[in-house]
Amino acid sequence: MNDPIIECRALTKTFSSGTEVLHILERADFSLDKGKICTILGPSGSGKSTFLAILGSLERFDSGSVRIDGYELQTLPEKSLFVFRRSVVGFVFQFHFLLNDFNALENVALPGYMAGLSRNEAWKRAQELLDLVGLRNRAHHYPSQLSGGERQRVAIARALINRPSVVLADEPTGNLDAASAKELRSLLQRLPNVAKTTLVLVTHDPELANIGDTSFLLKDGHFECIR
Amino acid sequence: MHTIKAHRLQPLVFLGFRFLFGKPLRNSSAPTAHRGKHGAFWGAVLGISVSIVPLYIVLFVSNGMIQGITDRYLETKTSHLQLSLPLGVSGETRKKLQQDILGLKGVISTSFEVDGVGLAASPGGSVSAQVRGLDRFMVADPGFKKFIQVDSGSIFPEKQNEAVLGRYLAKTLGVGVGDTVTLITLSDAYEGQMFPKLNVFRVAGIVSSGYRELDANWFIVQSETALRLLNPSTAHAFIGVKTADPYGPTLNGIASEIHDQLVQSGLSAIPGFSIRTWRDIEHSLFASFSSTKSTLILIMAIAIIVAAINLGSALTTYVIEHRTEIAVLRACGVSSQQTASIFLLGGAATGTLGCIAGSAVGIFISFYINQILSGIQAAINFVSRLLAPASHPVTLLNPDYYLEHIPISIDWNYIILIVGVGIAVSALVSLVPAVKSSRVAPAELIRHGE
Repeated sequence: MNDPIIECRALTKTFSSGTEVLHILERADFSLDKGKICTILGPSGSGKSTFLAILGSLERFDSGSVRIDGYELQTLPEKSLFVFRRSVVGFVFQFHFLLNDFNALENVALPGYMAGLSRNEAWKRAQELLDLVGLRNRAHHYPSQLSGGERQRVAIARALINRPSVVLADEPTGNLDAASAKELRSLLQRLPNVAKTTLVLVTHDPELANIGDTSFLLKDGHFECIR
Repeated sequence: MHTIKAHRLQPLVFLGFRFLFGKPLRNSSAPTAHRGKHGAFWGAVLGISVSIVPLYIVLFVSNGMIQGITDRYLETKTSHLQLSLPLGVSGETRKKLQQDILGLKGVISTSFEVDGVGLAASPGGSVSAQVRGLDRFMVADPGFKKFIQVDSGSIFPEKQNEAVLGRYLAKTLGVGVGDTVTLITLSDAYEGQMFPKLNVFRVAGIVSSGYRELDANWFIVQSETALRLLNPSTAHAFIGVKTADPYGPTLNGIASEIHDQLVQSGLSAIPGFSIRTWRDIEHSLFASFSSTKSTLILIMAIAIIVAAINLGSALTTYVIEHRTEIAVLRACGVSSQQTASIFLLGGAATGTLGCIAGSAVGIFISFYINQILSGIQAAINFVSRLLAPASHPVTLLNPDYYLEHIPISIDWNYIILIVGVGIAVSALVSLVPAVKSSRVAPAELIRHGE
């Protein structure tokens, strides 16, 4: 059996809203092997996105442990989290969040350039990734000149620029039409092989959920393996 | 695990410039909407440049004006050092003193002068006159000749009954070269009473120093004539000393040496002998120039601070409006320190561009200020003649108070100081938005999606 690339133990996360305390995760356990696709389903407000944010170190958790590609998140100080984000994880959000004043190539290259790649290397790698997501000819187009599906593919390419061990995607097809969603599903399915990465997908889309090697249902603060 | 190279400046500059100034126009494939669309920051650059331009003009024009006026005072009136003498000192003693002073290192000339007041009268009117009794050494001095413009006649009265008048005194009296002017002075007291002494002079020349405040009432006669005419109780006799460097530290040294000579010769014990530098003589005048200049610079500096605060405000607004983009960068692994640096560098870059542009324009305008003022004056007079043919011509810089031609003195130390302070203040006001940007939490993106 492979060593899991993601391993969460007794993960607890609560939100306080006035006097009310919301238990998002209650001593939840989760693990995922390297190179796999895992889909996480659950009702709205169940904490799927929060879990993804915890895996990506965007949110802190109350207790438990999270180990991703050797990094123990609970031990990382706030000031060092950016190193983890830039080298271990890549994010794809429901909304593409591309920078409007930068073209597709620049959007993809920027995180690499900021992470320490040389300009030539970052741009070269970005062009390769745009080729990978099928946007070779759209490299110099701006987000406003791209379709919704194309923007989301640029966002995937951006998530891969620093060659992350894990890609975290939050409802990546949520804003897309059926045709674009289908194209994106196909791309996501190929991702672990072509980009040598592990994919964690949060989705409501049953068809997208089907591409996972494993699927979990997040309910009442616990993960239930459904496939 | 991946190896990440150390933090570098280049990507921060790239990102900061693109954030604040948009895509450069040249070779840009960006849609029009994305080309340099952040006009606010070009506006901030413009604001800083516009605020710096008057500072340069005020600084260089006032420096030039003060320098020009100072030079005129030193070369045509006060000299660099004045050795005051009692009026009754003998000619031999005076000449001996002049010889001794000329022997000092750094002294280039000496001259004898007797000053006093009188009333100049002509059929055209009468006006108080500043009587200056000069010797030939003064008018032969290159500094004197450099600044004295001879309107007509000669620069020096060759005969005892001749006088050279300042341009405005001649104009007030309505006289020209060859006309006669009566000078009324007070005689020595006789039995406790003073009597007027009337002397008629032929106008031998009319001169100007280019600064009316200085030469308006000059009534120049030979020093021997002045000694004869002026009342000893109101007249002042001195040896004017010109040195190689009146602005340098050697001036006080020469003054000390002259004082030592007075002590050695025993003259220091006689009332009336004293040595003063030009700074002592015209102290209040130059203090007034200096304080006026400082006030103007302070006012101009406030304009720069306001422009810098505008920059800080624009940057803060930018950070607030672009929280999402900043959160995206943070989620992609950009550190809080890097995001802060982007805005700090962006602010400093805005200040730098503004300072460079403002300096270039300010220096250019300062260089051509005389031509620009003449042009503006000509344009105003042209329009006013069209609108009101009987109107008086407008003079932008009244020669009563200013030099007729503004000498421009460009001081690179000031330029470096202004640019340095401009950039530093811009960076300083960028601290708040920089800190704000570093506090943007990437988790905002998740909530945005929910």
